[in-house]
Parts: sequence; C-alpha cells; structure tokens
Amino acid sequence: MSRRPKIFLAITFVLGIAVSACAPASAPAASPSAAASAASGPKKGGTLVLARAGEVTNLDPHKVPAFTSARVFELVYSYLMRLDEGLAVQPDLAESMPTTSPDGKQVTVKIRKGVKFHNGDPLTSADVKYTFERIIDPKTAAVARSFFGDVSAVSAPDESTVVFDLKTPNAALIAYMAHPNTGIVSKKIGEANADLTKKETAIGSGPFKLAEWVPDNFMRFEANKDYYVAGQPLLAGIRINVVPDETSLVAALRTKAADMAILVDAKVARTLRTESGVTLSAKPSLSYNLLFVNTKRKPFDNVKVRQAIAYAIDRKAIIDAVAFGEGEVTGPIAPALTNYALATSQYPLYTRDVAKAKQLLQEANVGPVSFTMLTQTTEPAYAKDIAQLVQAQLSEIGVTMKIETLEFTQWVDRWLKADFDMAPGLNGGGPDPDFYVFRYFTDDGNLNFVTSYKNPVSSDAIKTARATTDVAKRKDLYATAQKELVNGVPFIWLYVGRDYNASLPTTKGFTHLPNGSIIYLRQTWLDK
Amino acid sequence: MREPVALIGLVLVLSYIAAALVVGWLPLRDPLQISTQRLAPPTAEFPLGTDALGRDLLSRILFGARLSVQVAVVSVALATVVGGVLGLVSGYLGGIADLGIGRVMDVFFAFPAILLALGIVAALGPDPKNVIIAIAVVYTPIFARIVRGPVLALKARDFVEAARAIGATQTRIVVRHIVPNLLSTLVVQVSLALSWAVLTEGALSFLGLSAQPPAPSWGVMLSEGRQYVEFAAHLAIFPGIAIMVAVLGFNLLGDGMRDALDPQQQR
Repeated sequence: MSRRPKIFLAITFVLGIAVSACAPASAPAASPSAAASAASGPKKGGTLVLARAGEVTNLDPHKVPAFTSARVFELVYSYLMRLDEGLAVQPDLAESMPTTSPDGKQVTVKIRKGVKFHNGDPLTSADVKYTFERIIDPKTAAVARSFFGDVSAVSAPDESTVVFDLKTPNAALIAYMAHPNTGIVSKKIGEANADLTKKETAIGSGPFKLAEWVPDNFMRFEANKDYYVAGQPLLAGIRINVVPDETSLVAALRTKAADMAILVDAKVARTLRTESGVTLSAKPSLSYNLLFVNTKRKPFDNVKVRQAIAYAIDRKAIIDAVAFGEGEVTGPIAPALTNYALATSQYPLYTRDVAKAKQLLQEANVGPVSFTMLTQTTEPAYAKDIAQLVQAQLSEIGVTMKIETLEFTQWVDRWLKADFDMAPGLNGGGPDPDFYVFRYFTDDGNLNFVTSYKNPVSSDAIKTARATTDVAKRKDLYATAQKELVNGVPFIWLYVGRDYNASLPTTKGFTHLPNGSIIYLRQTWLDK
Repeated sequence: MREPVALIGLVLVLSYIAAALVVGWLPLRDPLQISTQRLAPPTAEFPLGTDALGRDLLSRILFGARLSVQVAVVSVALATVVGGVLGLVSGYLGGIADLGIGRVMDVFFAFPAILLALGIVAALGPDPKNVIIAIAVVYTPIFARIVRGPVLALKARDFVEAARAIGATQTRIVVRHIVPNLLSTLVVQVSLALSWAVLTEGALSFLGLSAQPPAPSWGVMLSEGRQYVEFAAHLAIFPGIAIMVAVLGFNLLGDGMRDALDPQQQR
C-alpha cells in the first residue's frame, strides 16, 4: 500500500516535466496569429471583465461622491469635457473648447449635434441646462455644487449652445466640467422621476449602457451603438465584478477571470508586479493622504502645538512602510499639478526636527499633550498603519496619542460632525488646484467646517485665484496659499501614492488616468 | 497521568501560560517598537521576522499570549462562577427558581455562540474588557446547565440524604457534599471553555473588535498578516500557530481529563 502513492507521484512528476517541456514548443506556433491580429489593428467585440473591490451605493450621477460609483457614471454618462493622458482638459460632448467672454463672466459651450441618449431621445442643450441647474440647486445636494457656485444662470439659446453666466470669473470652471459627478442627464427622465438612483433611470449618452445589476455581485454593460465618437466603443460589453477585498484581485487576474482590475493598495500592487502575465500601470495619484487636524479642539487650537506635531512627522517613513516607497511627499496641491505645486523643500515644517518640535510645545505652554486619532479600516485600508506610525513618531516628542478605530460609515458620521481630534484620510484630487483647497480652506468652502481653520490670507488668495485666468498670477496666489496653509497646519499633508491599473496583456488600447478614471474603456479592445 | 494525549495538552497549555506570565521579564524587543526593517523574514536578529511596520513578531506573539490568557482566564472564571452558582441554585432548589433560570438560559442558548459574542461586543464597543464580558455571557448558560444535571442526581444520593438526616444546613450540604462532587465535571468543562475562549478572542480581534492597534493581539496580527500572505507569509503563519497551539492544548487537556476522570473508564 505504501508504495503506490510514490509511484503515482512519480508519474505525475514525469507528466509535469513533459507538459512544461511542451509549452515552449507550442508558444511559437501561437505567436504568428497574435502578430497578425496586432498588425490588423484593434479588434471589435468581446466583453471585458473589470474586477474591483467595492460596490456603488446608488446610481444618482450627481449625488454619490464615492470612487466606486464615479467609475460607473463614466461609462453610462457623457461629459462636456474630458481629461487626456497629460491631464489637459479636452472637449468631449462639447464640440470644441468653450469660449469665455473678455470679462470672464460668460462661458459658451457648443455641444455636438446628433447625440442620442440610450433610450433613443436626442441630447440637446436643454438637457445640459437641466443637468447643471440640477447640480447647482441646493436641494439636490450635488457633490459638484460648490464647483459651480459662481454660476448665476445657465441658458440654452439654441439646440447646440449652452451659456453659463458667472457672478465672478472662474478659472477652474471648464476643468470641473470633466468631473465624474457632472454627467449629462436627460431632462425628460429627470423630470419624470423622483430620483435618479435606480438602474432604470441610469440612462445617459455614454459609451456603455447599463444592462444588468446584481448588487454586491456584478454589473453588466452593453456597447452604445449610437455613441458619438466614431468607431467607439470597440468592446461589445463590459462586466464589472465586485470582489470582497483587493487581495482577491490578484487571484482574479492570475486565473484570467478578469481582464482588468482597479486598485489602490500598494501591497496588492507589489504582488501583481511580480506576477508574470499581468501588466501593472502605476501613476502618481491625484489623491492625497493626509491627517485632518481639528483646530477647534484643545490643544490644537494653538498653532504652535499643530506646528510641533507637523515637525515630528516623518513622511518618508510613512511612505516606506505603508506604500513600499511608492509615493511622493505632498503639500496642499499634489505634485502631479506641476504648474502649481510648490516643491516641498520650500516648507521648513517638512524637515523632521524633534528638538524644534519639543521647543514649540514648550513655547505653547499647554502642558502634556494627549489626543485621540480617529481612524477606520476601509478608505484607505492602510489608515490604521499610518495612525500607528504617527503614534510612534509623536511619542518621541512626548505627545501621547490614542487610536480609536471605527467602521467606515461611523467614521464618516463623526467626520461630518467634526467630532474628532485628528483623523487620517485619503482625499480625491483633480486637474485644477482649486479642487484641492477651495472646499476646505475658504470661508465659502462647503467643507471648511471639518477643521474650522480660519485664515483670511489663504482664503482670499484661493478665492482670487479661482477668479483669475492668468496662469502666472494664479501660480503666485496658490504659492501664497500653500505656504500659509502648511504653516497653519489645518491638515498635515502626507503623501500621494500611486493610482494602479492592472490588466492582462490581451487588454489593449486603454489609457490609464491618474485619477482612476476608466473613461478610456471606450477605446479599449480585447486581443483574444 | 495515563493519557499521553492529555500530557501533550498539558505541556502546550503550560508553555502558553508560562509565556504569558514571564513575557515581561524576557529579553525581548519592545513589541511596539517600529523599525525600518519591515517584513523581514525570520533571522537571528528577529527569530520570527518582523511585521509591516518593522516590529518584532516574536515579541508581539509572546505579548499577545498575555492578552489572550487574560481574556480567556478571566472570562471563563466569570462564566464558571456565575454559571456554576446558577446551576446549583437551579438544580438544588428546583421549582420556580429552576424554571426561571432554565428559561432565561434557553434564551441565551437560542443564539449561536459566536453571533451572541459578536453582538455583545458590537453593542458595548471594541475593547478586550468587553470581549471578556461577551465570552462570559455566552459561556454562563453552558456552565449552568452542566452543573444542574449532576446536582439533580447528587441531591437524591444517599450521602446527601444522610447529611440532611443528621441536621446539616443547606449551605453545608451544598458546599461540603455537592460541590466537591462537581469538580471533575467542571475541570473538564473549564478546559474546553478556555480553548473556545482563546479562539473567540482571536476571532473577535481578527474582526477588529478586541484590542486596538498598536496593542499586540493574535487575531489582529493574523488579520493584518493575511494581506501580506503572498510575499511575507510568516506574518500570518506564526500568529496562526500560536492560536492553534493554545486551542489544541486546552482541547487535548480537556479530552484527556475527561477520559481520566470518567468513572466508567477507571473500572
């Protein structure tokens, strides 16, 4: 009895060698056909399987800020503008770049003619007007509302022209027309339905139609045959599969159960990088990791205490530990915005200085500092690692930090009430610097309550920069704002990581944008 | 002890408890000390390697044993005392008391054990103290029931009748005649309960409901290590072994003692 398994093993082993010996021999036979298809250009048809962790909450294209939902809006809806690979703003549903009146208070957008919604209705300027009025209406509580806060009226003088009248000029306005939460909805559908949260109302003019949705499982899309970009989309359909966590994405790609995966965790990226047969694209992200500092709470109401803490932070150690070195130290504006972001070497507070930190604490004269870091385990998954590193770094200047871990939705509730001392977070970014600072640090910002930071110098600079079109002047204004903000420490900006996109070699033609956008699935094709 | 299996169990349990008791005096690194040697595999410097933040895994596992022992022992002790008293009262007094206690215990039995523990911790908040309460609450009805049966039988035995006949007080009968005869049953049950308590503490901390970071806890370490399993498998393997050794030890010991103390087998 005892010999049989050995014999069996030996046979398996020999067979294994035989099979592996055959593999190289069969490969050349397969390659000519692959070469032929590559030469003949993109292939049409096929369904691309996209795997990711996380499900959309609901489908209202203007109200849900989550990254997971934004990816679906990008497929179903079309946008006036889009970002190209270099993050420059390009016309998309707009026929050409919008024109701005000399005083900067009127922006005119010409839209493409003959565009149809998925239900066959024509898309006209009336739908665009309806969309932006819906976004601006405070009752909608749209994510993008504060971006268009300067718009006093939207009008549609003819079928293909939309005019935005502004109270003050807004340099970021056109870039915001590419924001994932500004998809053009149909006036007819919007007026006929109480909300746009359901699958039935997810009717846009984007490259793909939402055909089927099984929550927490998958979403199936079919190509929009009437899409306004000629020859696109190439795919016959897309299936978005939801996996329980990002670690499962590795298995999905390895077994070729997915053609593409979107991920943010550097751990998973590290595994995928060594995986043969998987192409990993990593781009410096527009999103940034930070610590929110509640300047209303003692002792953080004292700027010296905040500065002391900033001096004690070792950003490099954090990048090395949580992102495996795949990240850059960032200030208030992400380094990807090369035109505007100041080099972090210009900030004295970015050089770790324990002695200086202790001295500042002494000057502040607030006694022993002790506080709680309010963290969570979902967005981002590594928030608690950042918290533990910061805890160790702060202990070196004699600051005691406790960690409280909450479930993500509870954490968001506390954050919205500004009920925390300090909290790690991952904030989204955009192609215009306004995106990074206006909401949080101006007296008009809709999120300025989070840190309660008040600084008229930076607030005015940011507001003036929004109303300025001259790039050099904007640069100066944002430089002022960034220096003020870093010294005021309402946030402790940590680093920008990478935005990752993993795909099989058979997935071709995709352009990976560093904000995680998948709009270019419309030009993607499958070589199989 | 004639049971070799029980002996293995005893050795495992003793080493687990010893680790928890002496860990403070061992020449170990600080389990919270962060270093730049992250995800290092086992070496002479770090016998079990380091975790994602460069902390010594050996030190964390041994300090984790302390938390695990504390939670398991305290919770099972609570359950034994409270459940034991309830079982005694229920079995010895009978009548309304038996009925009342029995129905309340039935309610607790209606929930799956881990679900009940999860619910209690979720309601009270994530903290090892609350995990102790949760495990104690879950195990109390089990002890009550396990004690009640033998008490019913013992109460009718001749020596108890005899004690009553010579005028012994109720307290004396319970303390001197009934409780000593329950001990063998209790010892076995305590051992099995401890193994379950270790496992439950591990499960709850795996879900982030027990010790909070950076405190070393086996469940937390296992949950964190899971994410690195592709390129630093030691992060998940060693805490897993630690949990396995403790659970297996108590189980083997309990099984062995049950066999050894079973009067049917002694014959």
